[in-house]
Order: sequence, then C-alpha cells, then structure tokens
Amino acid sequence: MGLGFVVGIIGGFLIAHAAFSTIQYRGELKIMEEQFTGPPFNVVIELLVGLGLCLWAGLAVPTKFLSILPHSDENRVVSLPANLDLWFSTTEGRCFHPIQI
Amino acid sequence: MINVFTTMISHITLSLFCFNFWCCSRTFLSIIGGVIAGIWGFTGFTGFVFYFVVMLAASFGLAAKAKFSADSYFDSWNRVLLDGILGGLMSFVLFWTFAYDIVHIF
Repeated sequence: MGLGFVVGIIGGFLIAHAAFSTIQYRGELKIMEEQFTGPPFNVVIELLVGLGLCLWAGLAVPTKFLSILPHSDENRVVSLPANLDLWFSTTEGRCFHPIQI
Repeated sequence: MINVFTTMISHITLSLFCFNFWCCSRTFLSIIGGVIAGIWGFTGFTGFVFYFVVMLAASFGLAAKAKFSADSYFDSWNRVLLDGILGGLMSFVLFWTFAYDIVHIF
C-alpha cells in the first residue's frame, strides 16, 4: 500500500510537470504567433506515463478484495459454533380463536 | 437459520467493502483523467472518448485484480464493468474544464 502511494505521488508530479511544460510551450507559441495544435511529443509521453502510474496506484492502494463466498479460504468470517444459548422458536400464534358458525 | 442469516449479512458487507473501495478508485481515476484531458487540450467529443478509454482501462485493471473471477468478490460483473462510470463523469468534466482553463486560457 505504501508503494502504491509513492507511485501515485510520482504520477501526480509527472502530470503537474507536464502541465507546466504545456504552459511554457503555449507561451513560446504566442511569441512566435503560432496556433496551438497539441502539446509536444515528450509532454504527451509524460502524460501517458503519469496516467499509467496513477492508474496502477488507484488499483493497488485499496487493499485486496475479500472473497464473498462462504466457503472460501480467504473469507475471514468465522462460522458460529454450536451455541445452545442462541436459539429462537417459532410460535404459532393462536390469538384468534376459530370462528364457529 | 442463524447461519444462513449470518452468511447473508457477511456476503452483503463484503460486497459493499469491495464496492466502496472500487468507487473511490473510479473517482480518483476520473479526476486524473480529467486533468490529463485538460492539459492535452481535448475539446468536445474527444474528451468524452478519452474518459471512456480511461474507464475501460480501469475496468480491465479491476477485473485483473479480481483475478478475472468477479463472482468471487462481487455480486455480478456489472459492478466490475459498469458501476461508478456515470458518477465519475461529473468529476471528470469538472477537472477537465478546470485544467483546460488553467493551462490554455489563464
């Protein structure tokens, strides 16, 4: 989980650096009076690498899934032992007497 | 009867446990995808296509994390593939417009 956080932070820094690089690139385009068609190739690669790292972190940071199958070895739920103190009885209510016609 | 009830409760609890973590992951990836789309300069339909590509990658990653046997960890495959996509779309659009404004306008 700690490694996932570090990877996610590195991915965030890469994306922030790509943002600053794109802002600088746009400033240079304004000076040269050219249109912006897209960020430079190295910035695109940096964005994709940052996306990949954040994707990995987003999946790795949450703990592993726990099986919901009742008989799975990964299931931590312990079945209740036979406990004679816990019991319930179904009572057939007889509050209404049968109507005698 | 108690064992059946306990099993049902544990089944639901563990399903929600997996689902809540997965929703957080989708929201985080929606935000990251929005920021990247804004920096890249995507506008209009292209941005939404990029969002669904990111969500597709996230669904594949989740399925891989569940060892491609989602029935063992979730109620159905829909929770792996579809849940959280529309909820993350709002976060994506918010950070998409935010990043685009910062990088390309201001």
